[in-house]
Amino acid sequence: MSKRKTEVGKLSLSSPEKQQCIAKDVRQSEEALRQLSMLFPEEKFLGRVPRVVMKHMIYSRIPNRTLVDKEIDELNQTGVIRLFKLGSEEESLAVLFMEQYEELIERKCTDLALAKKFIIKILKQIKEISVEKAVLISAGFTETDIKTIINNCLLTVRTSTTYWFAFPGAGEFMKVYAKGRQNVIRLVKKSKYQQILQNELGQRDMRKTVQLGVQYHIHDIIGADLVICVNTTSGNMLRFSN
Amino acid sequence: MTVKKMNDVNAICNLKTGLIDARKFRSNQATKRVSTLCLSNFQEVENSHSAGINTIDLDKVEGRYLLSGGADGSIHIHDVLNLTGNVQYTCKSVCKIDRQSNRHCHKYSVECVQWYPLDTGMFLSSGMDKILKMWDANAQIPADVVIINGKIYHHHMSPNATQHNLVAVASTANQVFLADLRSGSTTHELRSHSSSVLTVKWSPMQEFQLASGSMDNRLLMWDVRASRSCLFSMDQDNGRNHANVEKTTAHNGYVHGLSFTSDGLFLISVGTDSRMRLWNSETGRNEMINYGKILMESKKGTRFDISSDTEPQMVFVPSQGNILVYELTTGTKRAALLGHYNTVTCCAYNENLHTLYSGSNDRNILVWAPEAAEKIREDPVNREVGFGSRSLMPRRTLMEDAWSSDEG
Repeated sequence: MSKRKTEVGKLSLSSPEKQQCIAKDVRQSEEALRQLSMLFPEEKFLGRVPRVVMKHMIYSRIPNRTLVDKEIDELNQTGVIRLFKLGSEEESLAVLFMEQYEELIERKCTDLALAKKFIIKILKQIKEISVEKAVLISAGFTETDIKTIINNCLLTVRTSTTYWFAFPGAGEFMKVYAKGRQNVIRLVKKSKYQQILQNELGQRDMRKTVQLGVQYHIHDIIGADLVICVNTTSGNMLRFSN
Repeated sequence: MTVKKMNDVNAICNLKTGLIDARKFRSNQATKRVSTLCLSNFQEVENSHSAGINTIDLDKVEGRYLLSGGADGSIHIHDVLNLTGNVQYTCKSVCKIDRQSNRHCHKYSVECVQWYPLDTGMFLSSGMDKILKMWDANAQIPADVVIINGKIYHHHMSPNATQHNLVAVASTANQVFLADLRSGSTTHELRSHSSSVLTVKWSPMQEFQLASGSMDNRLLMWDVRASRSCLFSMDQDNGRNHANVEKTTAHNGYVHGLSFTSDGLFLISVGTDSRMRLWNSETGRNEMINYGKILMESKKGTRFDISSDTEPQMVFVPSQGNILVYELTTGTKRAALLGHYNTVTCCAYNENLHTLYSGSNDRNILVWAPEAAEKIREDPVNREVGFGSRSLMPRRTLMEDAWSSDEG
């Protein structure tokens, strides 16, 4: 009975090789995130939208999804990144680096003192994607404070007593992201046999229709399982999966 | 630990000299065989179903008899053990309970069948006619009949219970019924769900622990001895996502498939939100293993299985027309077994032979065997001797068809 109790708890991996694997992936996930955020064309939005990476884009770089999830969770807890829920699906989580997020808040917020208070009291303490009204009130925010914060796009109403965390420019990003993804998928669907080589897709010029860049969306559709990656002799083939 | 690619002869020598532990040898070989699972070229199950197969079960005692229930209310038993000596083998149908031959047959579809855990003399079946029947397998007559207050989706009898004879029944009623086999009563009810219960499973280690999943998106753990309600409800966010909702949900859709691992430590649940989750059965914590999307059409439920002797353990889960094989603890997809023409509804893993049996709506039961290990014998052994004398027709090989000839 006692032996079984010790096995209960977090799934722990015992051998040293496995622990090394985790340590490597820890740095790998963060590195993949930084590389993907470099793909984001920040100049196009003139500072209105920060460098957003969707969480499922990392799955296209690192195949072991459970490890990526665990690592993202760890980065979230330590405060390196922050997760936001964008869209109605379970999978649509956006990742933002904390230093960028804080800099954006300080740049965009009308009431600087309130913004600083928000960062210190709420963002540093609560690492989840939503927050309850009671928690905000107990941290010392009044109703008018909350209204100002919502006006500055840092919180969005979820139910009468809970709020989602948000970032300024989220709306514009979502529009451009949804449109770009639709256009890229349409391209794959229209191709012969509903498949296209990844290199060929990358070379197509879609600056007018896909504002975020085709490379960004390639990672997006692979990670979201909208296409299947098949390894061929001339590179990666992306096949539409229905 | 990695499975070293060992030559079979080397492995046996190492086992004999004690360089490798016997259990590790067994699990290495099992893993090697399970990794090469593919549609068997030599074994098949005789076609006897005339409607889609809803459920199958392999007996725990010998792993010899395969019980299957169909959508027309019929129940078939096949013998999967190959005693003929030939590599090519058709699993014969041992008995058939259907509307033409047996007046005790279910009136509507059979949703769940299960062998009695201790021997193959008895089995239980339940279906959409709201009846749970306990059959005598030899006489093919129900020994007892229990009428439930709702269409039955699933039932389960505890595999290791010694102190109770309870069968948990999941039905369209909001409560989980516990039918006592000794008295035939169903007065013990577990009330906590707010919608139909789709699946129930007893823990293979603790005889009083029961898990149930239902259409209200919740997965509850019960101790049937407790007088109040459930022990805990499993929460997919582990309490992190405080959203002030009254109920914690295990899935964003119905929970329609459940399975404990054989050591009873973990529980796997499958839901209509296309996700599979691994839970710690003591604490109810979501282990956050990402298996990716597992597309399922059916809202009713699937029976999936876990191989417990391989290292790492594998989950075989039916998804539309395929069976997907995942590693239990890491969530990586190992294989997708294609072979059925229609939706796969159930699968059962045979530990002795490392084969997988799967039933689907196309009325077939397919056998998936570790085929890379088997080789075709030049001339089959025991062609005329022994069991060959039973059949008057000449033994046909599986590869033979009616229109090709030997000359040219």
